[in-house]
Amino acid sequence: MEPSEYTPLPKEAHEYIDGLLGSEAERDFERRLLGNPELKQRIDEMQAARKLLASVAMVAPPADFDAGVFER
Amino acid sequence: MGAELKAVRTAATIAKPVASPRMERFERYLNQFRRPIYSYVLRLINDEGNAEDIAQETFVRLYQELDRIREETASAWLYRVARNLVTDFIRKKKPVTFTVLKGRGNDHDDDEGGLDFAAREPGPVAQSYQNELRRHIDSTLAAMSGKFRDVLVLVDMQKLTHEQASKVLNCSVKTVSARLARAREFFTNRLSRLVNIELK
Repeated sequence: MEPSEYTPLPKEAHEYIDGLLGSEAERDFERRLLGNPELKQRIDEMQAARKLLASVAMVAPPADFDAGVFER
Repeated sequence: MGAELKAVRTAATIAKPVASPRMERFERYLNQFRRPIYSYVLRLINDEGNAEDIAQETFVRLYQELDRIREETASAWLYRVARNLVTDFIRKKKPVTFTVLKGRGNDHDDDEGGLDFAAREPGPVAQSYQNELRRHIDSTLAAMSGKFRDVLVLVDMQKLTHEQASKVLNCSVKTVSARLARAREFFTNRLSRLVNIELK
């Protein structure tokens, strides 16, 4: 991963994405986003990318997985 | 120890309906984490047979250490053991690079509500749209260095908290957060070159 390949978002944006801002700070941040459509667009894209990542996260193990555990 | 687990299981089955609280606890963890741990290991090594073996060994170790594991740390413990086993596996075998999982089915295919991903360049006609997207995701992850991919997989795929991921990776929460920020930005930027990401 090359550092030049990304442009850092403010730390607060990541805290917002993770739901780590307090309710007041979150409201403040959302108000500021209204005046910064470019930042809002980037956050929306990041949220969408995360959702896509999560959508391919889980793979079902083989049906005999448990039997293999108990046989070991 | 595996024989012991098998014997306990067999005894529990024969002696139904009474199963030991220990076995009940173990089976609860097995039910809860079977799929996440298998998926996590498979994501790291892209080898179904060995992923199954490593994931199973993770649960055998869980059974062995069960009495020493606290409820609140069980998740991080499982991921850490699985990751350590993967590391051992890679050391003993050949250097295994993170590679692309091609066209694997999973049970979350319908979990993309509100998203519309349109490929800029159509893939082969025979390849499904979903598989094409999955391939782009995997290739994007493969382009990342391990320490950044680790946090992205643990937090944004496996849904661990930053604190849990820090325990798995044996680093500070601050380090997890910093790496995660960079990883997300890289992933989003790189993926957006391959697909259009639009919110409906």
